[in-house]
Amino acid sequence: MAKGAEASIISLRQVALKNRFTIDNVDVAKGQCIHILGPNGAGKSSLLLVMAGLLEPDSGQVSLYERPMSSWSLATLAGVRTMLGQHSLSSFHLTVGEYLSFYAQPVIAKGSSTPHLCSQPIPPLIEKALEVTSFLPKVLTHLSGGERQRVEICRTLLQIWPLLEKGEGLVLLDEPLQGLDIRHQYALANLVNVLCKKGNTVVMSSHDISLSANYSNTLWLMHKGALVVQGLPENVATKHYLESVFECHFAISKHDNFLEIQVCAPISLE
Amino acid sequence: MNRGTKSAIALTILLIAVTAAILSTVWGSDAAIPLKQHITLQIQLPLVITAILVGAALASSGATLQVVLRNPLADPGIVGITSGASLVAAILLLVTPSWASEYFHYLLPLGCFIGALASTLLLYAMARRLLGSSTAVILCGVAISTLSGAIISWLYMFSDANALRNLTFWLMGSLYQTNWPILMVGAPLIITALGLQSYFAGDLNKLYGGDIAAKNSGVNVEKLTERCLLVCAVAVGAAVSMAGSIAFVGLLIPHILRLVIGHNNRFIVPLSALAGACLLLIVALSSELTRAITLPVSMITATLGGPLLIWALYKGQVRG
Repeated sequence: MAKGAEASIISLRQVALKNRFTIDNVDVAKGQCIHILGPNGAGKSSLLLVMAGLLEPDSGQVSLYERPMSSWSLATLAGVRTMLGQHSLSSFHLTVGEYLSFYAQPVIAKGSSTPHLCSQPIPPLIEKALEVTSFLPKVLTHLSGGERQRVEICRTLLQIWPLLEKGEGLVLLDEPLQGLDIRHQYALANLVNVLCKKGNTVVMSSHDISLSANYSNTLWLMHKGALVVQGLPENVATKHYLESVFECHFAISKHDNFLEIQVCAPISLE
Repeated sequence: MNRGTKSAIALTILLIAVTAAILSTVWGSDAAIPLKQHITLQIQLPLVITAILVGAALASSGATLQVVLRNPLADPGIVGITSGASLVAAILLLVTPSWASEYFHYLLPLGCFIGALASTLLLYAMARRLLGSSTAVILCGVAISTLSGAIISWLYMFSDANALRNLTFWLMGSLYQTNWPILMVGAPLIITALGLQSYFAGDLNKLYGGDIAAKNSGVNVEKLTERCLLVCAVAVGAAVSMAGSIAFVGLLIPHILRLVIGHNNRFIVPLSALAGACLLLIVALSSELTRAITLPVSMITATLGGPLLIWALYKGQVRG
């Protein structure tokens, strides 16, 4: 990209989805690591779906790589961006290796004729954070919720892995931390940071304010379908904004480069 | 060589062997040559072709439906597509006026297709409202089958003895009801449908992860679902017009294949067609060998399929 870090990857202009969200003007630039925070029903999931081109807004203009979203076909989109949705249950007893191989054709197809991924290693960068290799021969439906989530994140990343390795990928994750244990939450947040440093762009929603404030380079704060504020974590994760959006008392302090955010108690609604 | 290729070769050999066995049952006897030729051409060849086409259509449709409806227990019979088709077949058998009987071999496949399509659409509409619950699809199928069964019972009351015998055979499934004209209409339909089902199979793999995962990987889920259901309705409609309603082939075959070769639909869908054809050929062979009675096909397939269904339910392969 000639324009370097300033190139706008996604832009939304006066985009609205009925009963979900209204966004006036927002851009996602290459290499950004954006975490979206907001209470339940703030419109985070719908916004991510619209940005992924999986949901059409009622009005407004969504552009991906400066081309209107409606001009992209699903098949072309599949090669340039990837999105993790909130999980769905499968009742088929297929193995994790097989499951991943169905979505990761570009990586797997080379040289190997077997439909199973077991022979092909998971890229080390993904493996280090998600630790899914030991699940490959296991049956998908026998995994626990958190293990399943790790497999889903792995599936999502494998879909455009060649692009992510080159640092040209776009990843949208809807609550990827859901169900993960503490260690894997931080490992994932770290993986996302590593990917962004390579030049990839990641937008993810989260409910962990403290983690998001320290592992993102941009925070979006959403409330009742509106983007309240966006910017650097230390400018967004302030007592004023957090208390008005989450209706809780917060205690925020900064040590070195670490933002310590504590939730004290809900502001009473009496 | 992987398991898929091995199974394909084994099934093809089985298919050829059973076909040869059926055809040899006549030529081994010492009847006159013209009689043998007549039996081969007018009875056995239609029997073999019917068994291959119907078995392939039902098993391949079963495999497709299971993935499209996200339900490992879906089968054209269980979800009610077959019963929609046989309802129309029953009506046509009873009420076709004599002047139209000349066109019966066109009317029947068309009617069966309309019946299959109507029940598929009803199923699709209901399943979409109850999305996320895979037992709901089965319950819809039960509702559709019950309704068709009730209407067919009413038809019994208004039919004469001859039509009644025909009808009973139809509802139990029979490989001996076809003739060349019906095959000429049905065969191209089934072969086209089988080709399309195998063509869609690659995209079906992406449905295992749910709607968002599938769309994310470039599959237009709504379009794929509608196309698959339409193609299944054509295949099942044509199969019912040839052999009546045959239960459980669409459940039995893909289920066993998945245990053997895994869940890749690129293999499962075409191999289901092959294995389904083999199964019905074996049924045909067994009724050729036990000449005394022509066994209703459903009697045999249900004997095999019933325990499998109970086992699958017991193993918790369907969630609410």
